[in-house]
Amino acid sequence: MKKVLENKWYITILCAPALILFTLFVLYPLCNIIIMSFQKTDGLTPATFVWFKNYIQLFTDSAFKKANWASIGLCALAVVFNAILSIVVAILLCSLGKRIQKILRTAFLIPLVLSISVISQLWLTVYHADWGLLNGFLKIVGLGFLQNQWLINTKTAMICIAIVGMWWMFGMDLLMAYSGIKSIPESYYEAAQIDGANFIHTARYITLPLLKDVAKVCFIISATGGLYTFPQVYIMTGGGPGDLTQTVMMYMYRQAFSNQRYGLAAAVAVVTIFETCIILALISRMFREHKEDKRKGKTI
Amino acid sequence: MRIQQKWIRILITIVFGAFAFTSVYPLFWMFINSFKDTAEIMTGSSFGLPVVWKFKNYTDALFEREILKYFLNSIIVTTFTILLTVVVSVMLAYALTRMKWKLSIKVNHVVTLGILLPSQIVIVPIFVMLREMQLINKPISLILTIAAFNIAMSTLMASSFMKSVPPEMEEAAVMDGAGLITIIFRIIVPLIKPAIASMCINIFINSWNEFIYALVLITGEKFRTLPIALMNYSSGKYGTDYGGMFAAMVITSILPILLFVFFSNEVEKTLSAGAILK
Repeated sequence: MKKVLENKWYITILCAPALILFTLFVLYPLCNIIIMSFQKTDGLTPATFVWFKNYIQLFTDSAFKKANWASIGLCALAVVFNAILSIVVAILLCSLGKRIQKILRTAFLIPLVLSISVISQLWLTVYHADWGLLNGFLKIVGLGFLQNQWLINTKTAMICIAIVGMWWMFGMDLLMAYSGIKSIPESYYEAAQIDGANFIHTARYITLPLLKDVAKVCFIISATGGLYTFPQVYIMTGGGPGDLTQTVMMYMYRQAFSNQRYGLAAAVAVVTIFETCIILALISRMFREHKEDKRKGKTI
Repeated sequence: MRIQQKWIRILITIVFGAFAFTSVYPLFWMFINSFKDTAEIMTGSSFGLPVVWKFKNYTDALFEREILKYFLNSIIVTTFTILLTVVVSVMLAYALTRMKWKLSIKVNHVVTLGILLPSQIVIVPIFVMLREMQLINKPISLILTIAAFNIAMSTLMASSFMKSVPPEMEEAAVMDGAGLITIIFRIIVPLIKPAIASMCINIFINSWNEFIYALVLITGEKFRTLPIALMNYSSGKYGTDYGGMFAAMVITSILPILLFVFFSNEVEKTLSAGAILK
């Protein structure tokens, strides 16, 4: 047994294909964007080092600032309406009958397995000004005065984009929160019930504290999902009207593949990674402090 | 824990029912519209069934607008991505969980890190690299990229399952003179079948729905995959054929939806397990 498991050749052969692929397509490009972000390059002619020029250009570009805030706004919206809302929905869902739980869960999950391309196309027609589902619905309910050119109106375009992403990913957070709740032993609730706790008590003092780790994952997934919004914008508005709905990823795509400024696009990527790290750190901090509060509360 | 008051339960059911309805109805609307004539979609009522069921939308989309070709392209990319990823990740997972070598823990950390990285962030260097290798516009570039980004998750799924498999059978096999290949493919793979099923579902959803890499790496029309073909459907020389477009959308969604309908428990398990590993 030892002979087989400690054979260097075997280990190399087993690891090589996966690690080569992983290094070539994940680790090497990750290092490469940092190098590229200091270069002026269109990928064809030899690159020249320009040091921080890309970053300076980026931070003085008002379009980038706008795109950046749009992405951060989407990120915040996703955290509120996906992560927090799905946890609330999951807790309440668990209080219903088994059959209803299954039906509702399935309904929320279906969009998740579909391609974002299909979903964006579908919502493009839902928002269609002349025959879209949304305007048709408003007309039937008697709110015809609210009818709108949803994706062209500067007031509604960004919200419309945000809704698509949230509609798509809601099931993901719900599923995680739901399976998190299901993994809490039933006996905790039975004990609480004997002590006379009602639903709100159990949700507040049993479910939520035990759901902390799951909630953290929900927050992280929604936040990164919102921050990296791209296909919806690309298909539905192309960044328009003007550059109102342009997100960071859309900005990066345009700089790289429309303007051939690969160096600048790499700088965008580096800035975005940096932002992601800050957001992840904030989320971790948020959950850690809550834990400390808990401990303090217990000792008192 | 159940809520005791019945009327609150009913209220929650109604509110959530309406909520879930908004989640499903647009998809139902897409399905119904795929049988409507374009003129009827644009002028008729948004609600209600088609006046004339136009099945020709599907044949138009499949053959005249060549959705069938893109469908096959997608099948090819997805199949090879699944095969490649599963084989290499099972091999890596075996080396990481069973074999004894110095760097294994470090490699494990690096691979875990790969899960956190959103794939589209490195699209520029990958595009430049593949262009230098002259692989742009060939399906192999898409297969390799998607596979590479799925290795991390698949390896973790396989290795966490492998840890729960007792090593006695492998020891017995070695006594009988079995080699490493026999051990992995004859003993390990049958034992970790549930993990492999999860990996396949996960990779299928990721590669079938892949958008940004398919958009950038496959520039030509010949090897285009479904999500990108769909995007160009409503714009082009044929004019706007919304009925056909809805049909094409249904065709694109049919495999994921069938997967979800028939294996809903496995899909739910895979998606939540995949997320928890993060």
